Amino acid sequence: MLWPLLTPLCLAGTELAAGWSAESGLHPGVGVSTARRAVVAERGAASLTVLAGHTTRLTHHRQRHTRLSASLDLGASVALGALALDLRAGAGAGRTFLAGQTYVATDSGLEPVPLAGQWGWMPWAAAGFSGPTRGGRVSWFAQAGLLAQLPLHDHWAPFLIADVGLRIPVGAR
Amino acid sequence: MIWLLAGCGGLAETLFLRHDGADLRVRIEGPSDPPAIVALLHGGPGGNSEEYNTGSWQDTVEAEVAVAYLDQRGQGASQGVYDAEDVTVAQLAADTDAVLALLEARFPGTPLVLMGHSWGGALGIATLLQTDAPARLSGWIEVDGAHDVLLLNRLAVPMFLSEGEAQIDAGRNVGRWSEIVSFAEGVNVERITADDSSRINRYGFEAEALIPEVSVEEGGALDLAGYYLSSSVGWPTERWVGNHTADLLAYEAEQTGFSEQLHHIGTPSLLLWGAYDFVVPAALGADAASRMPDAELVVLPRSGHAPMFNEPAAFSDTILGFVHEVIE
Repeated sequence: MLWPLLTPLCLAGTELAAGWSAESGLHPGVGVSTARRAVVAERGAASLTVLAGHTTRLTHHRQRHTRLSASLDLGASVALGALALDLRAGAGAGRTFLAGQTYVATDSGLEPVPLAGQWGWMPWAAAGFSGPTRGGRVSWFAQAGLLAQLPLHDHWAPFLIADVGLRIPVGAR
Repeated sequence: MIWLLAGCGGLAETLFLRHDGADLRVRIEGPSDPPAIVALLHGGPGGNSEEYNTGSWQDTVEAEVAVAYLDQRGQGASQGVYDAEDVTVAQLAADTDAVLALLEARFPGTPLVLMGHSWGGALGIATLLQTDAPARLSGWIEVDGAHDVLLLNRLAVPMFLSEGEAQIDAGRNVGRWSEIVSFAEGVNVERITADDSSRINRYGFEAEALIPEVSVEEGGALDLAGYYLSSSVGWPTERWVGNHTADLLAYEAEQTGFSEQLHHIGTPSLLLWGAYDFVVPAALGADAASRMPDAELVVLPRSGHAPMFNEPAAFSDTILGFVHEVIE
């Protein structure tokens, strides 16, 4: 996976976010993301920021699969005072690991398939809000959107995603 | 918490079978050393096995035998990658036979009984007719099975008329029944169109809901919230994937008609129907029973299309009685 390499690159002078990532409302997961931000417009208390970064997610669907995915992201954030509206989308890939022993029929009978699962493209997009915590440096965020897995079967499939977490500035500003 | 507790002390195992591109999920629950396994084919197409893994019927049945809940290709928690051309009735029948072979290998010496509900009934019949499955099976249970869509549509029309007129005479839901009867009167049973078929299905569910004799077990059939909370797939994803697979199978499933081949099925069979099933009328079960050499028809009097949730105790007792009979 690329994400262990990308993380330190993206950490320089930007922010690290971590949080609870739930798919379809209740399938649990965790996510880590980084982002480098630049303010492109400001007027009074309002500002427009663009960002580039990456996200790594680990999600478990019981009796289905565990999925590890990573993406390179682009986004924008419109701040009005303390509250910001965030839009973020990522182009990525990942792998699933089936949540049960897998067998395949061969000429010599059934044979187990270790670490069975599949690779796939896993782009995603989400919208949400963020704002500062009482301490100031750390901010909270909440977002919801869709992650697609393709191919799946003969087609593709969307998964609802919902993330809540904290963003922490790291490195030199 | 529900799934943390589920299966404590017994068999609760999830297996996958990689077959012709699909990773087919099988969830097996029951006693730790089951005397038999009932492999369940869900309805649809486009359904999933978790819709059945709920309510008191499965608690009763799983106390004595194991139930293997199979998610068919392109449905439920099954996964994998393959071409759209691989979504056919014959391929799903081959998948089912392969899963039976997996269960045979995983539980050597344990008798297998195949059970299919609604669309799963049609798939089970296809599996019995088109694969080597009969050699693996001790029995076959068809529950309100749609093994002949053309015939079941023809049989549903007079059922709408006779029951509708009886309900109108009794003064029950006169407006709704009048609409259903009016529709049925307009159907040419010798030339049923795709639109007729779709409306027969829709009116079938509506008519069943209008019959006061048909009860639904409290907490049995999952409501949307319960299903959303219990699904291993995620409701929107499961609907998206299932509907796509249903579209691929729709035409072939609509043309499915196995009645003329039923006499080839020698596997001991239980045909279990709800008396008020307008979607797949019990008359289709009676027709099948007359064609199959070793079949018994049981009609549950207060059930509709899903007798496992209408009369769970009678349903479970009938299933267990048949399973014990065929494995002895």
